[in-house]
Amino acid sequence: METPEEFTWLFRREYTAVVWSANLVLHDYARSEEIAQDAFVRLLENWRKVSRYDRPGGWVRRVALRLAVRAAKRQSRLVSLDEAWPNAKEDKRPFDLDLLAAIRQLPPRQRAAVALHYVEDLPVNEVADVLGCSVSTASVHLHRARGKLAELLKEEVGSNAD
Amino acid sequence: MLIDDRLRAALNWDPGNAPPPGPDLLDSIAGRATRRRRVRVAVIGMTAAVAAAVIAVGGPWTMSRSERGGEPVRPPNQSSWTPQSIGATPIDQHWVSSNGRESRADRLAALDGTGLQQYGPEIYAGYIANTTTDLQFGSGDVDLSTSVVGSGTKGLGLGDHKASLHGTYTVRGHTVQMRLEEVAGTTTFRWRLVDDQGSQRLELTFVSTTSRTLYAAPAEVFFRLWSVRPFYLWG
Repeated sequence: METPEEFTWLFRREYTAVVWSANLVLHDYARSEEIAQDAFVRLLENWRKVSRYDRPGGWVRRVALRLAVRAAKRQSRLVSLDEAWPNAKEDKRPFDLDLLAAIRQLPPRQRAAVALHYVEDLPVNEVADVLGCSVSTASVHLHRARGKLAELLKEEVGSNAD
Repeated sequence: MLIDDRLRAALNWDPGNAPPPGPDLLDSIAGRATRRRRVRVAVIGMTAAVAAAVIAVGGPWTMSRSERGGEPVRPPNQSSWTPQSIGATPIDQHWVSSNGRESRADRLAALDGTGLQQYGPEIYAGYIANTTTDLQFGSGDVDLSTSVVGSGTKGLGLGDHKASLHGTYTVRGHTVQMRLEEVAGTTTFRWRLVDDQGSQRLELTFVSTTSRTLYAAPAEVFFRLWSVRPFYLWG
């Protein structure tokens, strides 16, 4: 299958971000890479259609996050924090490892809601759409996730407006 | 510090600064996409061959039955071929529902004789009317969504969703069994691929469901109404 130039550009730009998003759900870097690659395979297969969308990158992230949520439900145990975030020490980004460790303690759907809302910057109705649940359920996932994280990290919940 | 601020500071990240993946990875993805496409083409070809064989065997059998005055005749052996034996199924595709001309009455007729007619109008109005369906089967995962026709693109580039269901599926012979995350239980359809003037058409016929409630009505109502319209390959 020939790889369109636009697909190549999108892949180079988005791949690492898709791995990052999937890993916030799975906390397993190797598995997240597999899932990101699966998502890009699907994107390439559907390229003729998806390339017409406003944000093809949003489509591939959405597929990856759905795959990640499903995989997370089947996870029997989490890998170690070092295996989950192998680049944390060398990466230029300031990793908040305490926060990542706290996110690991959330159930998969709450982790996915956090990734969609804070990484992808999606409003709650689109978080609900990706998770395949009602808007009120997505709000509950986010509310509980924030509450649990605030408790674990001794931060304030505040009055968040989604 | 508010947890909201800490989450935004730590997680919101511009991928533009990330090192790009190597070219080998792109080649690997293109190769996998090509292989998946070849497998699908092969499976569809095998399905057509099996269908032709069944017709060739079943045709004479049907005649012999009538010649014997309708006495019971042992049916021909079922094909032992199962699509999953080569790792993919003939329906592993991205399908979209046709721009069918089914009227409201045509859709609601799918509930005739089920005793569920009373639920039809509400489910039809809420999730079926004026919608198109995206249906993706692949790698054991199924995504099903209905979107308002003409709702255009927004956000992620998809239309306004009415129904959005996701789960896993298993194909056995000519039935497909779905297990959806949003509703407990399994739902079974018979599937049929039809060559429609050179393009593939997928027809699903509701068989049964063990799911109880979906969208505040018996789950069977949605699945029966939804599967009236055939599906075509996207693009």
